[in-house]
Amino acid sequence: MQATSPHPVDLFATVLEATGGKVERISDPRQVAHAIAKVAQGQGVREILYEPTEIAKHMNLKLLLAAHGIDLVPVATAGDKAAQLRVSLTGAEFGIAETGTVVLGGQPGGWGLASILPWVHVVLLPAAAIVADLPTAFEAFETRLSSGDRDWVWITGPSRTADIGHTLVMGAHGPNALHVVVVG
Amino acid sequence: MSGAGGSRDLAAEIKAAVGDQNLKGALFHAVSSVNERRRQAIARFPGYERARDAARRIKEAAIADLPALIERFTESVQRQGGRVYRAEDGEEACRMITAIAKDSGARRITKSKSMTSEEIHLNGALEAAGIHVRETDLGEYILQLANDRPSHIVAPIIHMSLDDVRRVFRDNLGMEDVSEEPAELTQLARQKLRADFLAADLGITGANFLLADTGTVVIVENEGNVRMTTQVPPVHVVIAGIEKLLPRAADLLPFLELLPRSATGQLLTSYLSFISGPGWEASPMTGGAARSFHVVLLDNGRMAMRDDELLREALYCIRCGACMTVCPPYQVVGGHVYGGPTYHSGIGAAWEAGVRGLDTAAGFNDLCTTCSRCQDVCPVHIDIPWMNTVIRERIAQRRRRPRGLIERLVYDRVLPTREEGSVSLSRRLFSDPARVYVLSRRRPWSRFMRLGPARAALSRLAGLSAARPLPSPSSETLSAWYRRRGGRVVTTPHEAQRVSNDRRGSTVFLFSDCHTEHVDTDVGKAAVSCLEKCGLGVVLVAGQCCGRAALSQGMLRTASGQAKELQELLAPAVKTGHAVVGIEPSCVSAVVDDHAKLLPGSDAAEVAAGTREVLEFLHARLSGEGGTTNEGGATGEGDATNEGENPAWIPAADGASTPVVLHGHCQQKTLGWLPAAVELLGSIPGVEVRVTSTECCGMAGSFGYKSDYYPISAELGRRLMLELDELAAAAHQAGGVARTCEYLACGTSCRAQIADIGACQARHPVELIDERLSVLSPI
Repeated sequence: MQATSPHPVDLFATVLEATGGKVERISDPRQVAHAIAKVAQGQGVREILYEPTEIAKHMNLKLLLAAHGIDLVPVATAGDKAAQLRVSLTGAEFGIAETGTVVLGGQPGGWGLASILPWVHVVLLPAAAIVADLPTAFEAFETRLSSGDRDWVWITGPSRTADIGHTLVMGAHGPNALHVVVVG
Repeated sequence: MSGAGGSRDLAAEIKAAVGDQNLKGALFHAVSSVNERRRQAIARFPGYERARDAARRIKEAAIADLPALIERFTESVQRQGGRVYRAEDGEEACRMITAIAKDSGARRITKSKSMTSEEIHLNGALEAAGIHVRETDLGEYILQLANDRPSHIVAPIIHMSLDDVRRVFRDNLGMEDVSEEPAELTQLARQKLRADFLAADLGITGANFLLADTGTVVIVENEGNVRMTTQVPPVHVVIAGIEKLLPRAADLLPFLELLPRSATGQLLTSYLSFISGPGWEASPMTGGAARSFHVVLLDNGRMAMRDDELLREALYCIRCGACMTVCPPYQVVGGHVYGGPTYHSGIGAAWEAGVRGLDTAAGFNDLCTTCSRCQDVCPVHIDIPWMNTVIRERIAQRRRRPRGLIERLVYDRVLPTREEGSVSLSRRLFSDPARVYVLSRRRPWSRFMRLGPARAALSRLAGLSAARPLPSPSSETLSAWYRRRGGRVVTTPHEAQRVSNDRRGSTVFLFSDCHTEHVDTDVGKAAVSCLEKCGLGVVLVAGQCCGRAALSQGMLRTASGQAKELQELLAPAVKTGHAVVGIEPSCVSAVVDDHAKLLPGSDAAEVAAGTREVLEFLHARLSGEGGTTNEGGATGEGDATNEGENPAWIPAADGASTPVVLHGHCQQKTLGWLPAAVELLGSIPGVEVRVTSTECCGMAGSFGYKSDYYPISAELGRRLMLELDELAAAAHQAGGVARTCEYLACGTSCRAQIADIGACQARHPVELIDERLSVLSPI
C-alpha cells in the first residue's frame, strides 16, 4: 500500500477521521478527563452514560471527571435515563489501524447500549491495543470468539445513511459523533 | 408495480420507467456514484483478487458441506442458550416467527432490513396476527410508509429522489411543510423510529453470515438500526437463508474485506455485529423480561438450488448489489422493472428461479443483455451472464410447443434452426447474423426488406424495432476480398489441418466473425494489413459463426453446434503452435470463454489459451512481447519476411496531436483486453487517448434491435453519447485549438449504436492503427 508504513496509531487516526470519527492521543489521566469533559460540555450535559472499563478505573476517571462537575452513570443502574443521556463512555478491546475501527465486546454487556443509544460516543482505547491491519486483528478476534467471548460490535465511524436523496448523513440511528481517545 | 411472473407486460413497464424523469435522475446519480466509490476502493485494495479467490473457495466448500454446517450451527447456538428452527418454506418460517412473537407476548416488533424476510412476506404474516411491525432501516421505513417495495438489495430506495421521499413524508406523516434537507429528514425519521425502538418488545434481523463453529450471527450495516433492534428489546429473532452459513470465524476475513468495498466502496461499514446467543440480562431497557435468542434457518428452495449445477452458484452470492449497479438495463429502469418480487437484475433471475420458479424468472430474465459487466465486479466470481443464458434456455424448453405450419413451410427454409420445437422468427433472426447478412445482401430480399411495408411486417413479426436501421452488408465479403487478393482462406476442418501443418514461421489464423466477414469488412482488411505489416502471414478462417448470437437467445443447442464446428477450424492452428486472432470482442469472448462451457471435456480450453483479441495481440507484438507462438521452433520456409523486425509509426502530419475517445466493448473490459488497446493507441505518436467510463453502449448485440427493449437501448446510447461528447470537448479544450476528435469502438454494435443514436461515425481502432503503421522497410 504505502511506500513507508506510518505508525499504526497515526494510521488509525487518519483512517478513522476519514470515516467521520475524531481521534485524540493523550497519556496523562488528567488530560484524558479534560478531553472527555470538553465533549460533555460541548453537548451541554453533566452526566455521561458509562460502561465500566479497566482503563477508566485504572485512571480513576470517575474522580477526575467529578472535578469537572461530570458524573458517570453506569448503564446497569441508569434505568430509564439510559435512553436520554446524550454522551457515553466505553472502552474497546482492539483498534484496527488499516480500517479505523474500534472493536467492543466479549460478553454481552452495557457496552452494547452505551455504544448505540447516545448522540456522542467516547471510546477509551489503549494505544497498545491498536493493531496494524485487518488480518492481524482478525486473528486475535477469532481466538476470543472461539473461546466463548460471544458478543461483539466493530465500529468504524459514526452511524450513517445515504438513503434520502443519496446524500451522506451522519447520526442515522446511533451516534452522530464517534470520539476515540487513544490512551498512552 | 408488478410482481407476478408470466403475466407481466414488460414492454409497457419499460416504456413507463424510461419516461419517468424522477426515476432517471435518482437512479442514474446513485448508481454512478456508488460505482465510482467501488472502483476507487478496489483500486486501493491490493489483496482484491486474493480475497475474491479465497471467498469463492470458502463458499464452494461451505455450500458443499451445508447439511453438516446446519447441524453444527444448531448445536453451537443451543450451547449458548439460543434456539434454532428449520423452515422448509416461507409459510413455515412465518408461522414459526409468529409463534415466537406470540409465546413471548410481543406486540410491537422492530425489524432491520432483510431481503430474506421480503422473500417470505414476513411483515404481512405478523400483521395478520395482530402484531405491529416497524421497518427501521431508513429506506425500508420509507418504503413501508409508501407501501412500496425495495428495488435494490443494499439500497432499497435507490429509485427514489429527494422529492419522492419528501412526498412520502408529507402524505404519510401528516406534515405540511417538509424540509428539503436530507439531514433534517433523516433526523425526523430518527426521532420517529427512536420511539419505536424503545417501545419494541421483539427485534427481527436478517444475517449476512452465520458461523457454524461458534453459533455466531454476523450482520453488516451503517445506520445502527441493527444495533438498536438487537440491543433494546429482550427477544431477538434472526431470519436467514441456509446459504449464509460458513464453517468458522477464520473463513470470514475475505468476506469482510470484500462486502463493504463491493457494496458501498467502504473499507468497513459503520457497524459489524457478532451475536451468538441471548443479549445482556442486566439491561435497564427490558424491564426484567427474560432474554431469548432465536434463529430461523430458511430453505425455501435453497437445497434444491444446491442440487442444481447451475443455480448452486447463486448460493455463493454475498448480496453486495454490485451486479445491479453496474447493470446497464438496471441503470435505466431499476429493480421494479428489471426484477422479480424480491430479487433484481443480474443475480435476480437465478434467485427468483430458485425460490419461486422459472415462471417468475421468465418475467424479466430477457432483460439481461449478457454484457458481462456484472461478472467483472462480482466479488465471488459468479458467472451471472452464463446463468442467465441457461435460465433463458430452460424457460424456452419449458414453454416449448411443436413447430407450426408456417414455421415448417417458411421459417425453416429461410432461417433454419437446430433447436427443437417452435422457435419464433425473432429468435431465429437474432441467433443467426450470418444468414441475415447473406439474405439482406441477396436480391430480391435486400430490396424487399427495405420496403416500408416489408420492414413494418418484419418489425411486427420479429419484434424488430422500426427505429433501428438494419445493418448494410458490404458488397463483397472479407474472405472473397482476401481470396481475390491471393490470400489463403480456410473454411473446412480438412483445410484447417492441412494449412496448419504446412505453415511455418510467423503465421496467424485470423478468425473472420460474421460481422467482420459481412458488414465491417474494412475493419477486417485493416486487421489483415496490420498483421502483415508486423511481418506475419495471415490465414483467414471464415464461414463459421462462433455461436455467440444463438447463446444470447438462450439457444444452447444451436450455440453448441456452432461452437463445435468453429473449434474444428481453430484447433488445428492452435495445436500446431499458430496464434488465432479475432476481431469482434464478443465473438472472441465466445471462443475464449463460452466454448469451454458449451463443450465440456473438449479442446476448447486449449484453443481459448491460443486465441487473442486483435488489439491485445498487436500490442504484445509491437511492444516486443512476442505475440505468435510458433517462433523459434519453425524450420520450414517462412511465409513472412523480416521476422523479429517491428514496423515504425508514421509521424503525425505537421506533428499535430490526434485526440481520440475510445469506448471499450463490454467483453473487452470483462476479459481484461482494454488496457492493452489503450496502451497501443497511446503509443502512436501524437495520439491522445481518452476512455469512456460508461459500462455499455446499450446495443449489446441484438438487444438494441428489439422493439420492446429499444427504449432502454436508446437511453443507454444517449448516455454514452453525452460522455463521448464531453470527452471530445475536453480534448478540444486541452488542445487550445479546434482539433477533430475521433471516436473509436471495438464492437460492431457499439459502432452501430454511436451511428444510430449519435449520428456519428466511430471506427475500430485497428483502422487508425493501420493508417499510422508503416510498411516494414527493407533491411
